[in-house]
Amino acid sequence: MVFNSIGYLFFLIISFIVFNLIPQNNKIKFLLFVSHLFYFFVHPLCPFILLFVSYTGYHYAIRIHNSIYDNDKFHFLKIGIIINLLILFSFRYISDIFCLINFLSDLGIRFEKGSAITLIGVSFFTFQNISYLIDTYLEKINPESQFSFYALYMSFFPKMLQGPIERAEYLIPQFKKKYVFDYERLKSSLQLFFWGLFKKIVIADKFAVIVSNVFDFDPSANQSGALIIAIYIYAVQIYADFSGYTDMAIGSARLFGIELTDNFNLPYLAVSIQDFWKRWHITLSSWILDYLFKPLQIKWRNYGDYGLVASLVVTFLICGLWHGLTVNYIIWGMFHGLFISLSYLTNKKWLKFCKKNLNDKITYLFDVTITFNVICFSWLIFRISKIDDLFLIVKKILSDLVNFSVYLRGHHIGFSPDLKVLFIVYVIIELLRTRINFKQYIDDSHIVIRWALYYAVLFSILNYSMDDTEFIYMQF
Amino acid sequence: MSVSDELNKIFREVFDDVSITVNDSTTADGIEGWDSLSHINLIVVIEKRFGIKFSAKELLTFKNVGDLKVAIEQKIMR
Repeated sequence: MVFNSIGYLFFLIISFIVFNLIPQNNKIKFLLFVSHLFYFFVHPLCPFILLFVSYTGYHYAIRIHNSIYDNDKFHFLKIGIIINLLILFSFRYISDIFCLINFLSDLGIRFEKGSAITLIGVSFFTFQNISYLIDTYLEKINPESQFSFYALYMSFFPKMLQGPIERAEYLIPQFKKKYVFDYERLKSSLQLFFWGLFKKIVIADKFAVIVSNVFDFDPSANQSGALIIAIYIYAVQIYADFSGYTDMAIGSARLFGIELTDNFNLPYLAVSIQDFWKRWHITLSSWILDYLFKPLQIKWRNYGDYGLVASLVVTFLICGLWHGLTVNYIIWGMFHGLFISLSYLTNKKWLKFCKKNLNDKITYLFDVTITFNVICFSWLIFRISKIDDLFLIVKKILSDLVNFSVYLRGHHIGFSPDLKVLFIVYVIIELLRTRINFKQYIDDSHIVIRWALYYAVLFSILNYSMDDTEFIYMQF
Repeated sequence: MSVSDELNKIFREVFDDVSITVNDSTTADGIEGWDSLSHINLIVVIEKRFGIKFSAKELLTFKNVGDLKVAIEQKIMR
């Protein structure tokens, strides 16, 4: 059940009404029930696997906590992590591995991708479980004694399919607080939910068609102008898609009095790749930093800059592989690892140069422009269907680099005038967010303006809505 | 020289800033340039200067300079 479906809207409304009608002591049980029901709609086996994973996390965290000797604690930590990794590989990567086997060998048995069950959201909840076990081992948190709270931390439906990847110490205390209906909170939930839906349906899905027209057939058949436009449009599409989903997740959770962590903070205004990862998919970046990069960095700390570069490249290689076992994700991960290394190693000299030769505003504009273009190029690696296309696209763009007229010519990729206006308006809105608090602005505006805006958003959603398209990050 | 003074000296050297003064409650937020990437350089210098070795578990749990100082004092007293 995707967030942009009528089914989800009904599910959310009914859950919210019942949640408000039942007594306080049954609210957690009810949220547990609806969360597992939500996951049941993904695949009937899903809730059972999720409950098993939740129980192992709950059980092994208590065993870690109750063990006296560090060896025993570490032993239980290892068992807990291995179970999670087995679940992750069995239900997330097995189909990719089958495809790889088919590709690499000429075995008598052919595996079909569809023959394996792929659990949507499995990487998100196994990551939560792993972080909980490690934090218990590091004595950063005490394990939760009541299984119902832990199971809800793992299964809470708004964050089930695409995150955010929450930490137990942030979410569980919120479940324990008494729920009180709040009109302002309801209003803010709905505003965020429908703004997210707008970003998904009106922005991401419309631009997805243009991107697909260019990249899914024969990219080299396009003019370089069309290729460049499609690269930038894809950057906007993937942001609108994923941040739209996150807004809907946060809006849904807020209805039940739960605040989820925001995953985005104006990522395309980052001044370096390192900064980008503090602003894009924040909860995944922070998970990878704490549980993957830091242990590697500590292990290789005596190798100086070589150790640091190796930790970064390996971390981002794994980050790439997390998206899928394909060549473009591997290259995408390596690309980010190498660029962050480069950015770190040259940072001191670059800052000195800027202080001496440029003023702060020019330095900022230069850094943002370079970073944004590097990110857009990395999205191209992320988006293409086969790696040969990357070379063809780069070759085509470079061959026309000096021929500026190519960029000005008409391109038949579906970037119609109304979409151009939409593109510009959306980019301006996102840029203005650095200066204007839109929620405050809408709340303070005259009732006529406020409702005109609400109707404009709803009308656009209804006008542009196509079939229930999936979110890009749902596959991960 | 006390552990606190030596730590202060190391911070000034690593982050190239003579105005730095650390205390037990100092965290990465309070020092410009102290981030997840530069953190490990600081640790390597501390380990070399005091002739000690931190475990991975210790390094993953330090919350502030105070935690770091306690761990150093425990190790050099052994």
